[in-house]
Amino acid sequence: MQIIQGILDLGATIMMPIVLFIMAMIFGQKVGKSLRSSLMVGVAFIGIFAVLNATLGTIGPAVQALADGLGIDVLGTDIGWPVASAITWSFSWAGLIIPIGFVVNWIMLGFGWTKTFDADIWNYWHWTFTAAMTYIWTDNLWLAFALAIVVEVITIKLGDWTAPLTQKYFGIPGTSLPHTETVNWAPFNMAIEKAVLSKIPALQKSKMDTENLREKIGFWGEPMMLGLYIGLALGIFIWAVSDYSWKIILELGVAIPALIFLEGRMIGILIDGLTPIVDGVRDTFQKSERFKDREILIGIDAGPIGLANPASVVVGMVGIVIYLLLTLIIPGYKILPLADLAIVPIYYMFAAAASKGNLWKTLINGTLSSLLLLYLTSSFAPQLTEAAQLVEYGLPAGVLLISSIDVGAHLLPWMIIMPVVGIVLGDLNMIIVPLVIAALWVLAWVYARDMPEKLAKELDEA
Amino acid sequence: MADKYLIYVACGSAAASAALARRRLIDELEKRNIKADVEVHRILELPGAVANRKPNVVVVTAGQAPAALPEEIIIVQGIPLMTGFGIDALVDDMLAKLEGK
Repeated sequence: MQIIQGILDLGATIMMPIVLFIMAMIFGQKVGKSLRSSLMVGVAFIGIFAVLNATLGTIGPAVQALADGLGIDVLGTDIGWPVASAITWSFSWAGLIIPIGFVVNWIMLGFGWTKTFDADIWNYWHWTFTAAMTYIWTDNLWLAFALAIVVEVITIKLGDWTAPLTQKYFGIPGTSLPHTETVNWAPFNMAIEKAVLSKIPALQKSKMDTENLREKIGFWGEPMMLGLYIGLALGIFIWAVSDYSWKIILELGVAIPALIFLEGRMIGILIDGLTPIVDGVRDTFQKSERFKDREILIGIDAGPIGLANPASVVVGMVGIVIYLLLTLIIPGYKILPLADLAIVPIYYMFAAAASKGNLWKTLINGTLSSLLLLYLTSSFAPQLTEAAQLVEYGLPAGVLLISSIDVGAHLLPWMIIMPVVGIVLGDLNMIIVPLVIAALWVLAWVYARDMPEKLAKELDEA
Repeated sequence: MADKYLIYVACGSAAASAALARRRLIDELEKRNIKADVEVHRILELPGAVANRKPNVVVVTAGQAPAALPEEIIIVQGIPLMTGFGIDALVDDMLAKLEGK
């Protein structure tokens, strides 16, 4: 036991490779390949945190200087989803979510509760994240796992529900998108379309050649280039309102692209290492005779689908500016969107699907849901910051608060974690707002339950 | 048949899932002893990448067809690389098209 505890204490860069190697063995992968892949995961973890350390020391204090200049109390930094997920995976028990998530999915399939087999193992981190946040608040691992499972079950059901539309609209037959941080906005997006936007005649026409626009965005809309514009603009602001010299403009003009670009590369390495586990799970599924004659939808990652969708990409570029402005205008938003601005299009993708790609509707609908998203980004920040410290990942000096927009997109986990944790801690203030939002969310889902089917039919007829 | 193929995997983000798709394609090609360079490109930058260096095949994993590409480039629907199911058939199809050239 002492040895196991000793290994767990060594941290993610050592513990994760060992856990993954054992899991790859259990799922019947070859020794040599598993060893190489597991090691790669450890390498990627070091890379992710090195990138953050190398850039956040410049970015974090500059963001806080902006806050001071504007008279805002605290302004934290959006460190991006790759780091947020890496922090999440760094808990010693995090790897367990992969087999647990797989078994839960298996049971759901066995009882005919879902059509989705979620092959997007990487994004099981949404459930790990649910568990991590619950654990930080309550120190109760059983409760943490229980809530993670609840979130998984509902997310998979959301994938089933939206599948008729997502297959048609995004052109991905045979799949569903059980991808928490995007699909959990679908009930609101569908309901807003059904109740309001579809009834405004002026909005129905707007036809624009998005394909053409998407091509124009091409090079200039590359994440690294976006980082440059954001960095320069932010630098100018900071130079104007604080005692930083003009050099900060150029420093941020390189630091923010570096954060965005290098995080992306590191995640690529991490995934390369995770592949044997992912494919081992898939093979186990494929060998099973039980699901042979059933219609099965394979759950995939929604991220790259949204980032390739013309309406989401075009509106998402406008969304970047909207996110920044909203954060500076609305009091209570405590995290300045930065690293995750590169993936803003994915938070518009279900608004795009709900309107079948109508740009104005996508903009209005997606921005409405983003108001809540930015609030959640702040709401999760203290616990994510604590998690970062708990997994013995030191934050650079001058960085008080971190979060990520993508973490804030985890609406479903938030609606479930907050009330439960509030009850456990006896803190009524935590319970009320999430419960009201959750009630609205359930109503929205019930009200709009026919929408994905109906929209898919309309796409067929068009 | 060329000595070595150049294959572009066109994805939405060139991050997590693109790496997975690339790894799976490479593994399947290695199994069949087929030499190929596999590069990942974001779908938005695909026209630029193709103009720069023309691949034999473009595998699209993001669902939506890419912007107009030169006719001689073979385009393959790459959803199996995302789901992990049907990669065999995808590579069969791709090779048949390549050898048909």
